[in-house]
Amino acid sequence: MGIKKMSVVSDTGPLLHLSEIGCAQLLLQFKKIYTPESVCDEYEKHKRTSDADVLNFKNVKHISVKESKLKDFIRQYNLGELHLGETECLYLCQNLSVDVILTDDLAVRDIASNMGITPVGSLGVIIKSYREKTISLPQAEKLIFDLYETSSLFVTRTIVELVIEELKKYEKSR
Amino acid sequence: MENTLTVIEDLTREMNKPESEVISMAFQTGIKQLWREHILGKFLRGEITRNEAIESVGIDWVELAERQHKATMEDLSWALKK
Repeated sequence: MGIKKMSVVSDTGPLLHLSEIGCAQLLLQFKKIYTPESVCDEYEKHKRTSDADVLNFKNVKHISVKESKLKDFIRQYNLGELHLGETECLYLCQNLSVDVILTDDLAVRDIASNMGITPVGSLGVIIKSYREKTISLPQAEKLIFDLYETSSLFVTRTIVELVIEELKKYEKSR
Repeated sequence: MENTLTVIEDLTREMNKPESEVISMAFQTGIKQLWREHILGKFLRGEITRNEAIESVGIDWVELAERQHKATMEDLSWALKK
């Protein structure tokens, strides 16, 4: 499915990390991005840039989650270890029948996969934007390096180099 | 990151150590991190075995690299498919 037809739920990570490297506008490609209130609070608390007002993007929709419903959900899936925002995101995915969650958290990725939800990180958003020709290969390379060098996302240089190698292979085969 | 000189000044003041010692520590830390990245890179490219990587940088770093690598490959596969 193309990114423009895709609705996703996002936790704080990708909103923050993409803002930090000045490419939050890539998120505008999604049809809809659902964010629970707790993610909005967390984003406001941790944001290090005022470059983009992600929370006010026209495709971002804030949703409140009832505490009682969340408690049942946490019990059912044994999610006691996760932060509130992450748990609410998983709840929204299930409740709204959204099958993609934007997250950079490795633990959340594992849980989402086990629940049949596709996890996608900041890297994935950048690569998809390149795949859909919203950005060029050099732009994608720069943004991926910026994720490593500038953003608060913890990613090793090796991973970044491997991704860029894969993108160059893909570019040749295009 | 802030200007390197400013960071060195801040660290010197906050750690209450001479500037030369702070620079020496920074150099050692940088070398250690570069070495770790180099080893993890060799491991993820299949140039050394998992056990060799663990022996060199420890299991925690190897496991983290594996998890990050898996997540990255999932992102690539999702993003590049039609």
